[in-house]
Amino acid sequence: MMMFEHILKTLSENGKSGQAYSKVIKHSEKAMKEDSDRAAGYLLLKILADRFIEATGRMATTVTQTENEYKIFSNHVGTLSDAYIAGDPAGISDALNKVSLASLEPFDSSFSTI
Amino acid sequence: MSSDFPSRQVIAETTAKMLLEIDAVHFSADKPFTFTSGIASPVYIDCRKIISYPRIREMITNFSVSVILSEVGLEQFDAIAGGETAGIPFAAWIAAEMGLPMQYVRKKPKGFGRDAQIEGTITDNQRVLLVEDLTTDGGSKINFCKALRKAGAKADHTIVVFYYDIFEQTREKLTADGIKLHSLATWWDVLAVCKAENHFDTHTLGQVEAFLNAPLEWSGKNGGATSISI
Repeated sequence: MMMFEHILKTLSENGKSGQAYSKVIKHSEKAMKEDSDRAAGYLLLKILADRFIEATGRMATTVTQTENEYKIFSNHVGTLSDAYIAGDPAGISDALNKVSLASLEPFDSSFSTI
Repeated sequence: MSSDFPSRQVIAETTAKMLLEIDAVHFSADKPFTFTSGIASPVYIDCRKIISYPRIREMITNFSVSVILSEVGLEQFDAIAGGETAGIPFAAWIAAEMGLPMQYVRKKPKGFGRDAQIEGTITDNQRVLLVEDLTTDGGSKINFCKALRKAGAKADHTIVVFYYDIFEQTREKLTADGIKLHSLATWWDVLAVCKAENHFDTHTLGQVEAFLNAPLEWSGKNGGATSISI
């Protein structure tokens, strides 16, 4: 699951910032075409990255927000990656459904988390 | 002409004081903020708060019009455009004050076509002033002006309430793209007011000043990015 790891690495190496999530979107779109068997998984990562950008705009985030969002995103990458590695169609479907539902969770924009 | 307008110093200092008064300014040296560029920073500003304070937003509108008229001219614009989202209310107030039409520019195009990123009526060669709440590295101003130009407008000026004024690349890049930046206040103005009026403790202000003087170095030392790309 090199591409999933690559997406997570992109996020980490770019400061887990808005720009990092923008790069994740581009990588995910590319991966959807190049690794089309897992297009649904990459689409979910694209949606999750877009959710971060839409929620924060171009505003700065607090340390807590940055780390929380990275942790949530990493967990979703792990869920998808594990399911695809296992290769069980039912497991992949479960993982996709789980991450899909999680993508509806609102971003914590509370500023009290400085 | 310019003698009829408030001085830049008065505009900058008053704007800085108003931003501090409504708690739009946050300093956190020990737990830095993360900019969209990945830069770690002890400073944060939320100019969107201004919309909730009628007296302050009126003052900001008047200052903005004053800066535009004195720095560019009285008859240099045919329309005012706001950048989605935060620029829209400021653009509306400035357009109303100057008696000009208004548009807004979407962050992303809505489908295809020349005007896909513009809401409102835009005409060829219309001289449009782009309005935003703030600029950090200038990147979004360039994107918005490009969208206006693609739609046929002449977009060579932008005004913001707040300009970070800490990255050398910002003005260079804007100039290279043919965009003149106008602003009411910068972090330096806020820092000056904080020092003069004893806002925040000396340790915090020291860290803020260190960041403003060498933002990439400060960011690197605090776990953030050490370069920016606009």
